[in-house]
Amino acid sequence: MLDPAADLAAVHLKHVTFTYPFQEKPVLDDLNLDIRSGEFVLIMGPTGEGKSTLSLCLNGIIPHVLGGSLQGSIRVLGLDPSENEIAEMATKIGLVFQDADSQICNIFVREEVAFGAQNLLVPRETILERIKRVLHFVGLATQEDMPVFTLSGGEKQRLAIASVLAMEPSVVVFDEPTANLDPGGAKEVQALIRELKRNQITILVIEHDVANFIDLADRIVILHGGRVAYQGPPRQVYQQHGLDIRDRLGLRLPDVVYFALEAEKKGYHFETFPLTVEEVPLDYLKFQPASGQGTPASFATSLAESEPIIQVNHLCFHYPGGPTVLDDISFKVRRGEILAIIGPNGSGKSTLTSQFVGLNRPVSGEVNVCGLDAARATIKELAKRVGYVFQYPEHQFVADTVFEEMAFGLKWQGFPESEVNKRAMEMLEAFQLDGFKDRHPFALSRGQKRLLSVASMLVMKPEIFILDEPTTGQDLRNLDQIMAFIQDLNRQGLTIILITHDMGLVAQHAHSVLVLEKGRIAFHGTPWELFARELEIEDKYELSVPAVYKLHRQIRQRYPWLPPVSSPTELASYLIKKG
Amino acid sequence: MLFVYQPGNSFMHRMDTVSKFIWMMTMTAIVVVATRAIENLIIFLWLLSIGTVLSQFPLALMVKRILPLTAVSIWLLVIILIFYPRGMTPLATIGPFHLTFEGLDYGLTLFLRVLCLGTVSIIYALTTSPRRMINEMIEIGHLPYRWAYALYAALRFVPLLQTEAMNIMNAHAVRGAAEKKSSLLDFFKPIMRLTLPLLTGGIRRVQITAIAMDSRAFGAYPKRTNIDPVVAPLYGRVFMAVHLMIFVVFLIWHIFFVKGSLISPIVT
Repeated sequence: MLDPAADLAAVHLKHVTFTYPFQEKPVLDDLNLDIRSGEFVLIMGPTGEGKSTLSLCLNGIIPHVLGGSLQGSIRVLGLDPSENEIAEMATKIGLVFQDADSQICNIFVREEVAFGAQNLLVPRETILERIKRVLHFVGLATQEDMPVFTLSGGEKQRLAIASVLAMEPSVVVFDEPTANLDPGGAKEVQALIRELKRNQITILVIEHDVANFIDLADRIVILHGGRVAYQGPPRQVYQQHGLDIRDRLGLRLPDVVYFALEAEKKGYHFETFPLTVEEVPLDYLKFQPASGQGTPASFATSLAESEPIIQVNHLCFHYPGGPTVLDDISFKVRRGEILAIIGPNGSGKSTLTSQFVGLNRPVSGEVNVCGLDAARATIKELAKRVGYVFQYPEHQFVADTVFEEMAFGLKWQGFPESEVNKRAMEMLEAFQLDGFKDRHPFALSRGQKRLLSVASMLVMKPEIFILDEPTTGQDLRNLDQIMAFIQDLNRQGLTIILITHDMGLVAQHAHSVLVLEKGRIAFHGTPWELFARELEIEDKYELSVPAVYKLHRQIRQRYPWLPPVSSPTELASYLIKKG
Repeated sequence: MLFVYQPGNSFMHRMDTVSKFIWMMTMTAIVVVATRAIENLIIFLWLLSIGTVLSQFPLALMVKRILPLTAVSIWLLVIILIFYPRGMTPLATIGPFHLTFEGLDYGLTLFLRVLCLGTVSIIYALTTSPRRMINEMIEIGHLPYRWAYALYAALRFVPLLQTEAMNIMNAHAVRGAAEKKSSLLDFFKPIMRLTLPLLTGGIRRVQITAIAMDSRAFGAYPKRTNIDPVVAPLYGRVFMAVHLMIFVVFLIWHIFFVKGSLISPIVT
């Protein structure tokens, strides 16, 4: 029997249950969802709760390619993906994935855009016209004949979007489209998605960090346990269920939403629940001075007296025969400091920190780490003092069990076996990994892998701890656990260096920030000094100022005594309790 | 980068890639048949002239590209010069080693053979756009486009995998996994440790690429629209045919008029 709702909706799912082959638990479990034509829907949910699976069901990849057991009814623009060819669905719905490098399958820009239309046997002249039109739309018109590898991360993602748009779909699904991009690239893609919204295309965006899309969304859908936990207009969903979404589901909330929820806890009630800084009713909110703990910014002042643990003087570096990567870099890191190194991709962040563990050596200048000359010290000597956690945990796994992974570095440094076993077990327990000690590291979940990569470095009791992009692929709960642990160690004197694009992380944890731009230091100071240069940050360095800072600046115009804060919760702590 | 395409409009650039591929294979066969140093020297000079005149690459560029190959071939020359077992005519004695003219001739032959094989590959790679190669393999060579795309996608993954391998080796180095080479097993352990993350990362990438390709209707029909018209000038086929004839004549001459077997064994 025909379902009238199915005919009206652009996307219609009714009692959809899907189980992957060789698995017992369904990923989607009695999922019901209708999306209207031209609607912009944000889909959120904890990792592994079926968000990406949902998108693959819509274009027929599930079940045609990936198999599995699919039950219930799905209609996309009136077509059932499981009964129609993928080629037929490809003209209705397009998918843009998180990793543009893996999505792009051609070597040149032009042929990547043409790829889908060529497969559909669209006439040559039509394809050539579409290439021009779509590349102009995504702002890559001048790169038509360029090889893909010459594009930046943001340009690659725009190309991936162009290649989908060239097939002229009515519905486009974006699966974490900005997760792998630096802030500049993310802004490019966000602007493009905004433009698509203006063109009345039905858009589904799957995201962890929704702050940049929240003002566009007609509806927000929260998936949990393979079904819709909450859905509705963002204001309504966040106001009614925000605390549950954050605390029980472990999802990240936009700073403003977080602040507004804290304000409601203090008795304030918003007739229009704010989603952006501009929407916060400042006349309504009242603040008073409060005795709080020191913020990272104020703590930085006390750090000025502590001894330098890293000293970099006039460091220059280039790979053999290559261009300059680091150009006349000089700065100090003090013991107990949390330094964030930020900057666009390719600005030299990882190359700089690689000098601290001896992976690269200065071409000229000096690098002194814990009293060792990094140009001469062995990797072993440096690694004893510096723990380095790479962006992808799998890259650093070297053993066949979780326990051996933890013990590996200790054995390398020559600790006695009893000490190795004691320390390894203590650290496994601290990170709640002791129950998995005999498992292969690659068999852990994504979050557990990150915990293991951090724990296997902390077990060495380093003096300096470097974290390269700690937020990659991590949900809020996991990230909070890691940051709480290392911040505790920081209070005991551990020096921490964060390489990150996440300005929220910088605002919340860093004492100081180093901005690199084309291998040179563009800024070195406190986060608040950096955020104060808002226009310069956004235009020149292509970074984003955290919403909590923007909100704080607005409030401070009325309450000049308001000290710097590091999080929305801290900002809300200055609110006068109502009633 | 030894084998990266250099755009241009030379004789070799304009030639269709299928004829050029057959020419490359023909030259490879000629090099294999040539058993004397002087023959390989003539072939090498011929290839060098194709590289500089017909491909319009500066001699300095050709030399720069060929130079890394000489490291391998000089090593080969030295080894054969020292250990060649069938030498009869003394050349010199260095310590315990008795060098012979026959060893020198055979060493030079292999030295030049490596250079010739390298040079012909370099000319092909430098004058052939990967896009045009795949397109013409499908349109002229009638290669099924699914196979051609498998090759094309693999080409795209090479630089990504190189970067990933470097990152993994760095991560292992700071964990101490790059040290300890006291036994043969210790020597191979770093390779084994590199393989697993590289393989899992590679499989993940390939899965995403395959899904992304399927999502854009790859393989929906037996054919695809070709947007780049195939240009196959006649001279390309003539060029290839002339070399094929030279190969046939050269082979017959070697079989019937040159003493000894086609490929001289090092040990009798």
